Amino acid sequence: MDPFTLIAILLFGIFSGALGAMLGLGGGVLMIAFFILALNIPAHQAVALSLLAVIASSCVGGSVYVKSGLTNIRLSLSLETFAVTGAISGAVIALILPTLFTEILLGLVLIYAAFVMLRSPRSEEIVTEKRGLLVPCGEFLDTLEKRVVRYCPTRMRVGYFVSLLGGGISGIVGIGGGVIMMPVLNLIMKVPMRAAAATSNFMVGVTAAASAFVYFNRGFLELYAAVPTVLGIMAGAYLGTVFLGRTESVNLKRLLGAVLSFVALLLIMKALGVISW
Amino acid sequence: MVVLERAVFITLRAGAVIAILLLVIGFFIYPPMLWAGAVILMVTPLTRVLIAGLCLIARREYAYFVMAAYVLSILVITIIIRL
Repeated sequence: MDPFTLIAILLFGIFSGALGAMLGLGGGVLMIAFFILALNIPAHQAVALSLLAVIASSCVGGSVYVKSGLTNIRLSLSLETFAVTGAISGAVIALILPTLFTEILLGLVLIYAAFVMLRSPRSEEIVTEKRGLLVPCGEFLDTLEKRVVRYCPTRMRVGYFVSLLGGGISGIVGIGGGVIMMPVLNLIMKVPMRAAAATSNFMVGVTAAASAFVYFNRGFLELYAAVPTVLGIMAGAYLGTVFLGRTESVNLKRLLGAVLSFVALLLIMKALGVISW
Repeated sequence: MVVLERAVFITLRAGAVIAILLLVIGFFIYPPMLWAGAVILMVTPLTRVLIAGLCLIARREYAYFVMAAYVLSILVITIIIRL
């Protein structure tokens, strides 16, 4: 790869990492789009690099968010249990169900989630009472409003079920779980936006790692391109953690809504054969 | 930070720093280090599940320990099968 391409990867990595860490998405799907649409990198290599990018974003963003108390580790473990189960089921379902169907379905679901995010009220509904067993309540210091926010996730069963579905769908479609987990955490389980972004960012690294090994073992990981990807994503993820603390929840939701719309469009284009990965 | 958060923080930070150091050394000085850097990065999220599980069992939070053990075992089995 020529130096200009490596610099372009580094710069886009910073942008993608910042957005990914801020919104809890990991940034992988943006990197895939960049690698394929802008750099013409073969699909398997693009996916391998983007998985490494998601892990890098999750490690850096995750460490900052865990230190600041934003990440709810117990909630992430609860949901990961169902998401990994779903991912395994997804691998089996992928053999029966056409990918085209799943991609269009996920695209439509993301458009709906984006619509809800964009229309959501300025103030968040936060539940502070524990409803049921094994509800991992959390608290964090809201640096913008300078107050401690306490919350208890609601509708845990629905959250588990959607995580199960989300794990399966992300496995079939070949994207990370962030775009699914963020709406689940914030819209369904009423986890405040900042804590949801931190927890989702923390979770996506685990699922990405499982797939990354496979791509790595099959020789799809272009190691020289991995260096600017990881450096850019890590720098961007660090910046994203700073921006998260300084951005109002309503603006985070709007930004997430816009990104989800973009991802939905990519998925529908992929399903229709306009792009491929 | 309590023990669980501190342990997970150290694991993630150490993994990221070591991986990036190895990748940079590999890129500029000694190419085989690129491979090591990528592997360290990929192992880091799995290690943090392991560390979280150990901290949770030390805190006698058995339900969450079982979840961590389940997630880790599923991931390891999946990796082994798909490799």
